[in-house]
Amino acid sequence: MSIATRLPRPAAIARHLVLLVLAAVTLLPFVWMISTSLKPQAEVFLSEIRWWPEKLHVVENYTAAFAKAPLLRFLLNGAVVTAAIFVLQVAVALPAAYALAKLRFRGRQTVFALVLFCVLIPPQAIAVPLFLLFHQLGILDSYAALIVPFTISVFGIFLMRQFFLGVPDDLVDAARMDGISEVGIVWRVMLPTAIPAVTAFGIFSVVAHWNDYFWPLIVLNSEPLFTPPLGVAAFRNAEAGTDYGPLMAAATVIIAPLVVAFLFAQRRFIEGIAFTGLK
Amino acid sequence: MAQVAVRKIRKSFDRTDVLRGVDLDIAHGEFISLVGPSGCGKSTLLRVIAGLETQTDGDVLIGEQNVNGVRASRRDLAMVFQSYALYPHLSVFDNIAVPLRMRRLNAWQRLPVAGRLVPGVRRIDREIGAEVERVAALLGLADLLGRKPGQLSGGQRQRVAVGRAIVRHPKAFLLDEPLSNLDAKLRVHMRAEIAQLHRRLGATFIYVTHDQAEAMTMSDRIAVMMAGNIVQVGTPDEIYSHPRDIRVAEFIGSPKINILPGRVEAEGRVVVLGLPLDQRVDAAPGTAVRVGIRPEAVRPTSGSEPAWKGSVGYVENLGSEVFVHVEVGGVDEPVLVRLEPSEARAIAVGSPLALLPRPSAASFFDDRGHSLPVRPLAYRQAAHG
Repeated sequence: MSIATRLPRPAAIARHLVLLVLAAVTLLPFVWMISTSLKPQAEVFLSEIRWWPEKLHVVENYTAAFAKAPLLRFLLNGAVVTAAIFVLQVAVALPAAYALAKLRFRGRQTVFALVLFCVLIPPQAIAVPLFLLFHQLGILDSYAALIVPFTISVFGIFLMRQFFLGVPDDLVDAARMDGISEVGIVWRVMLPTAIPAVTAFGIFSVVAHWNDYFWPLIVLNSEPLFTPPLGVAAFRNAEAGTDYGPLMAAATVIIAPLVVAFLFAQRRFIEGIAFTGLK
Repeated sequence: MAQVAVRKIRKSFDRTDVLRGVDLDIAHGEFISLVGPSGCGKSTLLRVIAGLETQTDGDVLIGEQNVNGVRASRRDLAMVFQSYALYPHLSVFDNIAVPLRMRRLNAWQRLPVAGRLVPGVRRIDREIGAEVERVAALLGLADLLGRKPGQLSGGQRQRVAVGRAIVRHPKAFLLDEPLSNLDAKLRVHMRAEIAQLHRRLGATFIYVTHDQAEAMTMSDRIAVMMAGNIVQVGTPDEIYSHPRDIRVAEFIGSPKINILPGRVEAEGRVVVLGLPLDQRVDAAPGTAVRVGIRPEAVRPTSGSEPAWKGSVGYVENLGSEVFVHVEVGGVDEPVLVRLEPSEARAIAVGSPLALLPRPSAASFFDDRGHSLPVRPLAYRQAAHG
């Protein structure tokens, strides 16, 4: 092998340069967040860029973060809300997707067209009517208000329906011959074969609702119900002005579960996005 | 007593008629094949019997009981699918156990952990386990019970699918092209295995295939389907030797039957390409007929008697037999002749060859493709004269 072929060619260098720049743009805020969470207040406002603080303020910042706000409570709220949303989304999406993919009934195409249409509706567009509706129902400022709007995920229905189309009809018929009911087929046959798709959908769902700031901000007033992003934002409104060290420490804490989950499920995550491994 | 019967079954999808009034009686313990080209409705008929498809009109009877509107799972039939349709997330053991669990345990008892606490469940589970193991031993799957379908070869998956069907002793087995996903060698092997299984179980088998060889080798009776109708039902021998329709004659038998143009002359005598045959048909003189002669019923002749004169276009040597394609004037397609290798040794491509049909081996069809009766009396006259 000649040395020439082992050296990167200009195109390869350019490609990596672009990727490095993109990675830097994405990662720098994270790095800055972590870096700031380690600094004392005095070092945060220095005019020079200092990645590693001269005086470590880890313990102070992180204890302050946990002391100033019930961070654990926020994390728990986030876990309860995202888990409930995901479970309910699956409970709705799987039977719906099964019906749309495997059952023949009049109007199936119309229903599916409506599902696709609903994918196009931005959540902001219906926020005000939903708010008014919840006000009428008297469920504003509750877990229900956080969870209910997202229980029917049209994206989830669409994703699972596309996956179910690939499941052979014979498998459904075999289950019918074996005496499994239609509801049983959804949970005992379709769900196990669809685990990769459910995982992919789960990642999208959990990330989206863990990080959601818009809707919780609208419907919540009581601090004990705050989800993590809302909780972090509360630091900015603290009476003593913004304290960036503990704020960034809190931000790091609430992002940590997602990062850890990503590291554990990295392979699945990439599969889910690339839609490989579905077969 | 018919174990399974269908009466005037019609099935339409939108405006397409897939089944056009099918009648069929299947006896207890019989192995019947539904055979026909793709799109003839054979799979749809099987699915209607299974209850997976609802007929537009007509009745399905199982054990003399009308089962119209009875759900597939309540008809007590088992089905083996072309794609095997094993549950990919379950082991071989669990795949075979599913139909028993669904029947003998209720929803609570089937729960993964809590179900085991219900009194009696352990005993039922043990019985199911014993039956699964018995079936696995019968099919040579005993060592594979812990595996997942993804870790099995095509033939093994096929056996698991059969095991799942036989474990609950259904009233009849429905098999939908179960061998068409296997390679040629394994297919021949599994043919013998399924035929053996049928003998051992003594159960009713309804077997759908597009492969006429499978139908011929395994069945007690064959029902040939064309364009949504059953054209002929009979033993493999009847279907092969006495096709009632030219489409049946052309579909059954490999290589394909020779179809030659003929004309009826005085007293029903048929002349084909200038050669009078020894059979006489029940048709008016002057009628044009199509004459079917199997490749093994045509012989080369070296004598000086009247014969079909042609030249050899192509020779297919399969080792155990030789197919000779002979170009004969008056027909577009070459006449196919099946010979023993020893008979074919002297035949070279391009050389002239004279052909004669074997006595009383031809079938006759009118212009609509229906078979014409051969007159027995006339036949005797011909044989003696």
